[in-house]
Amino acid sequence: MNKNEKIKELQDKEKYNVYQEDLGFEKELNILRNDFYYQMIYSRDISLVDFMYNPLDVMSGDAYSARRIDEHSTFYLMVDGMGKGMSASLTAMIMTSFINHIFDKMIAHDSFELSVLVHETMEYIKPILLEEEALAIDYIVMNNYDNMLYYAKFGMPVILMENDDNQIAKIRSNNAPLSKYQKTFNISSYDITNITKFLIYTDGIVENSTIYDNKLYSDFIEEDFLNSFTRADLKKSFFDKIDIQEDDVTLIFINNLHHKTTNVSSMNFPSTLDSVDKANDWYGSILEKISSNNAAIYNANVVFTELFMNAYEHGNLGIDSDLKQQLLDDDIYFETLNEKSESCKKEINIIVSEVLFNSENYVITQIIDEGEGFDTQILSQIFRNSQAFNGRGVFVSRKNSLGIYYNSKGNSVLYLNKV
Amino acid sequence: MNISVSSNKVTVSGNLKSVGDFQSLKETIDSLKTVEKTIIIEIVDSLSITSSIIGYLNKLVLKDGVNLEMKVGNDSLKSLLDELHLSEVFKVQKI
Repeated sequence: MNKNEKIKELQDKEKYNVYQEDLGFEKELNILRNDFYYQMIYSRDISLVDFMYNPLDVMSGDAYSARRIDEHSTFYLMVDGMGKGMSASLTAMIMTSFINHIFDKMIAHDSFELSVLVHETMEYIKPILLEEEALAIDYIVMNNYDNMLYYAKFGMPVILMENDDNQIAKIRSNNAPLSKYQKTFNISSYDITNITKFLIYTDGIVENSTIYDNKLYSDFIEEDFLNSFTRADLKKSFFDKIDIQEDDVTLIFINNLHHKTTNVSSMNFPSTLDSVDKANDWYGSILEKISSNNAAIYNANVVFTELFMNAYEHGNLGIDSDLKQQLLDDDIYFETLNEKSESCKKEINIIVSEVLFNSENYVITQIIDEGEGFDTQILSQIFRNSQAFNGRGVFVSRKNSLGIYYNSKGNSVLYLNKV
Repeated sequence: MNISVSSNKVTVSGNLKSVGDFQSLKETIDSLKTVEKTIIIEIVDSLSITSSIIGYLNKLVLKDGVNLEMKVGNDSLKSLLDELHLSEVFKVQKI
């Protein structure tokens, strides 16, 4: 084989490997199940759930899932395979996949039981683990109505929590890392009545070196968590303090808004085209009373226009994306909106709240329509493929806010802006 | 928001945000496209645009065959159009 043929062979091999890695990563994303993609938990209080999944290699040793058990209860899973590379990734992925499978069966039979889930999945993975392999894993159930958290933590970093007094509380592992020799396990509970924020994470974030001499990020995470109102704040604090990411980083950031918000104003608007601009003016005047930051006010206003319009046309008037496109193509979009509005008695409710956090002012806006809602899982496709025609309004909204969150039905949306 | 027209060039100053803004821009361009095959839109300082405007301009290029050139002054807007892979379709240039 001459030199050129050899180079060609290596190039082909590299192309094939990249292709396989891409397929592998796509499968990983299918294995991670997230019932809270751009969703809030709407129980006794509103909680916002955000995720960060930053694998170091294409095949990640970290995995997570967030599943809805019922209206008030949620299940969080965090898995960290021992070491790096293919073996860790295989263990993390098959375990996550199996746990999600068992979870789905339990929900289908209305029989979710944390102890059964832990037992069954432990028995499943034990024969697969290598002699010296250890698997760190969190099984967490949060009940936002009873305000109780139930957990089986196997060799995972602490769950960090912030209480009403802005103090850190911690939940430590109650089990050793999972090995093939493990026979029993513990499930414990914790009263979360006074907890306002939660951070569940794998060790990648705390074991990362920082730009400060001989200090790991574990030295900073508690303070940064206390100072973060959103996942984006924490992410920024982390990346500001490190040179390079050294391991997979996965975290779930949960923020209970009940403890922090002050209601600023609320208003109902009829489902008319005229209301869209009227509501926008009303909203703009509220923001101007809260802030003098024109750019921030504008960003929040753009999101309002998009999401109010969605509530009006898709929610209350029931115009789906295909019909909207057809109406636009035929140039009868606005006429049709006006026609449909005449017989529509449904209203759009707006609630604006304010949060003062560490000298920063946040505005939380909730838009609730009386329509049928939609399956918010379709948003994952929009954000994976920004070129898709449908959902550009949601894309623009995310770009102009700190986050948008729907209820499970999809007829109530909340978004957050720093103003 | 303020719209001015000179030959085939539409200049938008101020922020684009409301449905009214969209309707004004649409009316201006609808009337211009009957006489011009190439339309230049200059968005001087708006930080973003709404999805209605994006949808309308997309149809203008892909269905009506208008040769659109967009000049934008703000980096955030440029970045939004890049992320939506619209920079090529709208022939976006930074002012």
